[in-house]
Amino acid sequence: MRLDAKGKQCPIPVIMAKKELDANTQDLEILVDGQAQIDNLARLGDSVGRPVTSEPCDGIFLVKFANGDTKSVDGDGSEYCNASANNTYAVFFNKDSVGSGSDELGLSLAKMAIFTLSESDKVPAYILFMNGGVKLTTGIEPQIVENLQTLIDKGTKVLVCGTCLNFFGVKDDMKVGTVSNMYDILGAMQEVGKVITL
Amino acid sequence: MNDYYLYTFASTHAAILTEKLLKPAESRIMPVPRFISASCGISVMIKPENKELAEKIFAEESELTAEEYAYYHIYKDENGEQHCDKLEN
Repeated sequence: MRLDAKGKQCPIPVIMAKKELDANTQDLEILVDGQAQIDNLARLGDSVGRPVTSEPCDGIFLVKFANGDTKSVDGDGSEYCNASANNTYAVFFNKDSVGSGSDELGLSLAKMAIFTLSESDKVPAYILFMNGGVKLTTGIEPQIVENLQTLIDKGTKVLVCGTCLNFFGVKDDMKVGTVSNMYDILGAMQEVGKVITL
Repeated sequence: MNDYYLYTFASTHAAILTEKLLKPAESRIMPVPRFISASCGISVMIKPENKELAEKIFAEESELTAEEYAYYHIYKDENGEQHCDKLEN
């Protein structure tokens, strides 16, 4: 049996699958959009003795449950959904300071925030700069450039709005990061689990 | 960060002033480490290679009194253990 969970967010695919698994349906397959759903179905499969395999299928994914007897496990399946499965995050600087009240303090806070991020175990997937924020990448503060480079070395992608660099006349002054555009910056925001705007 | 010198201050303004003062010694600001204080604050970090220059500039040009700042050497020993030595003002 092939279930269609295209466009369905967790816990729906898992609930659909568990219903059939509990009925001991064999040759069970389910179409899902992405990795988050695959991971949750894998957890379900392992738990009930019907492990999964997955393969790409026309731009989405087909998850197949191994045949065999389904172990009886309570619940409708939603317990297998890790609501925060996507625990990546992005940090967004939309000005060249953190907070308002004092520009000088704000710049110090930005420097310290970027330092602290660079020392942390879980670095952001992205750091995004728009409007006045792009000035932070121009070397006005050497430690920001150093710390952003450390983050890049640890796997963070640093995206800097090209239009904004252009607007402030600092296109050639960017010392660290990748010149980017609204599509990529917005895309990054949509991709991560959460966006922190400082 | 295995070896660095750190100035902490009684006021944030002193911290920012000192950061500017020690720019020739490549001053960097960072939050005061938790093992020194639980309260927030800006501290000025100096890399070991700039220690002499920083201390010289600080001695000659800083207007801070001894009560207004503290000075530390923070480093890891051969076993990887971190030490935090408070240095004389």
